[in-house]
Amino acid sequence: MRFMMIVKSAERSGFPPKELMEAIGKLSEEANNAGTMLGSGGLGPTALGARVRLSGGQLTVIDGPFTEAKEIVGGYAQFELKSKEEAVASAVRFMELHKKYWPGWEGETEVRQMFGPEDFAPKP
Amino acid sequence: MTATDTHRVIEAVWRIESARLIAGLARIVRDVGLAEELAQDALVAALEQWPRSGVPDNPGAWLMATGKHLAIDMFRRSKRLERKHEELGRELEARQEMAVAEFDTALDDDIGDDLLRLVFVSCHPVLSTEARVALTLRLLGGLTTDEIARAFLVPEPTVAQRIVRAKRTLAETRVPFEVPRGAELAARLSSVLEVIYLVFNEGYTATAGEDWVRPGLCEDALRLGRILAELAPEEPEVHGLVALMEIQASRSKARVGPSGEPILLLDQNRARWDQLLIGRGLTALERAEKLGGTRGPYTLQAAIAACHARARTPEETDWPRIAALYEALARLAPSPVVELNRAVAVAMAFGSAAGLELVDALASEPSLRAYHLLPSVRGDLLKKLGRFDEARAEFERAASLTRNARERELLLNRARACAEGQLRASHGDDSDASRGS
Repeated sequence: MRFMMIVKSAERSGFPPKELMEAIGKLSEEANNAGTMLGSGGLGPTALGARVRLSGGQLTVIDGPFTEAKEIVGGYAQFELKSKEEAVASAVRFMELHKKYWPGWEGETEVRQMFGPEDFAPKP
Repeated sequence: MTATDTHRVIEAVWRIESARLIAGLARIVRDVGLAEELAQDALVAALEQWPRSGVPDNPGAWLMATGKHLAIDMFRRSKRLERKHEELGRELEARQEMAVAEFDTALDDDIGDDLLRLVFVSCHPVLSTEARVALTLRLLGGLTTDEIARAFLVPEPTVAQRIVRAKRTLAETRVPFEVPRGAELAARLSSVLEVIYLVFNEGYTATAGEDWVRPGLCEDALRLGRILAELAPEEPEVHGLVALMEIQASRSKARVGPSGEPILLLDQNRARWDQLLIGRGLTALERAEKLGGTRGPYTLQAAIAACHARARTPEETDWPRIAALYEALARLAPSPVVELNRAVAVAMAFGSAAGLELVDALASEPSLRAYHLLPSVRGDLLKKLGRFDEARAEFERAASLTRNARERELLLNRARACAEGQLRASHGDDSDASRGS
């Protein structure tokens, strides 16, 4: 099963401590070596982004920054795992590092299952 | 957390940790079967204790510590193994103290080596191929006997028997728990790669809509391959195999139609190819090629798969390159099936006549006598050359050879289309096709 981990937090949280980045680097390396992490990425500031919204039949383009948003997506990773429990365990480990190395930081990792080939298979 | 939740967490921990646990214990007790029993006992202890005490911070380290304690207890209790106890018990206790100190760092440096040893032992040539596959999935893939049985469509007792016998054989023949060195390494590595690719193919050829444990084998094989690539990063063929599997897996959503019919590579909707897996596959191929040396069979097959993966449309396919890669593959591992594939690539690159020449050379090949793709390919090339009558006969022959009903129908349709083509050609007076250009 493939999972997408979506990390959200307030945009003005500042730069993450070096220790946290190192610990995340180590965790990623471990997950890569275990064959479970397929890819990951970090997102730039919303000031560099935009939203294209369809509402009431009207398309609008709204340039960043998204000041009204309490929490924004900062990064993501894709994993190939056997169960939701494995995915949650993996997200817990990731968040434990934040707890340890970035006191006071608040945010969440959303764990979402992605559709795989089995979801496109014809039903027998 | 409820007891059920805890059990599900334990199940997940077991999936993640069991291979490393068994590998670590096998290094100590020097017996893969015994190591697995100890790991299972540690799991039972977790099932008893965690629902009460909560899941420990580092569940893997907890299981390893428990497994090692159980090993020490076992050696102490066993009178028959008294001498072994003396040797190992002391060593164990010394190691135990060291190990406990290391647990905080969670990453035992030896674990990687232990896993690699476990891979080589599970795929040891002293075992039959079926036994290697079952043992590898059980010990390294963390699959249960029942899951393996369902995946390979055999009764569970058969798989259980295979695993028991395999463990016994390893113990009786005293297969050392080590990574082979020197000249032995190449042969042993190819046995490991063969097992992983076999598992992958078993999943890949499973028809959609069946029990999804079977296609799940693709993921198990990929995961094993990716692990192996980090354990043995200097081996180009390991990266070649990973590249091949990643690229093949990238097409899994596109290769089956809505009613379960197979869709051929050139007819697939490329928008449904998984670009993440393609990217990973191309990176793995690059790693293989950067290591240099003669490209092995997996790297060559991956390079062929990469040609397709890089082409955004079928027309963009680099057929001359594919033909050259098949030629290299045929020199390395000559086989009529490779030769037939080369013929197809040559036909696409240099024209149907050139391809037909290679196909005709295979006509007397005994191993292809009942292979429906030979007349099917030949029919295709003849049709393109306007030789409709001969093409029709080949499609009909191919239809009589295939065991797949859907494919037979497809081939008979093509035979009928040839009959119509023949009719048109004989009525027209200026058809180039009828002159076989």
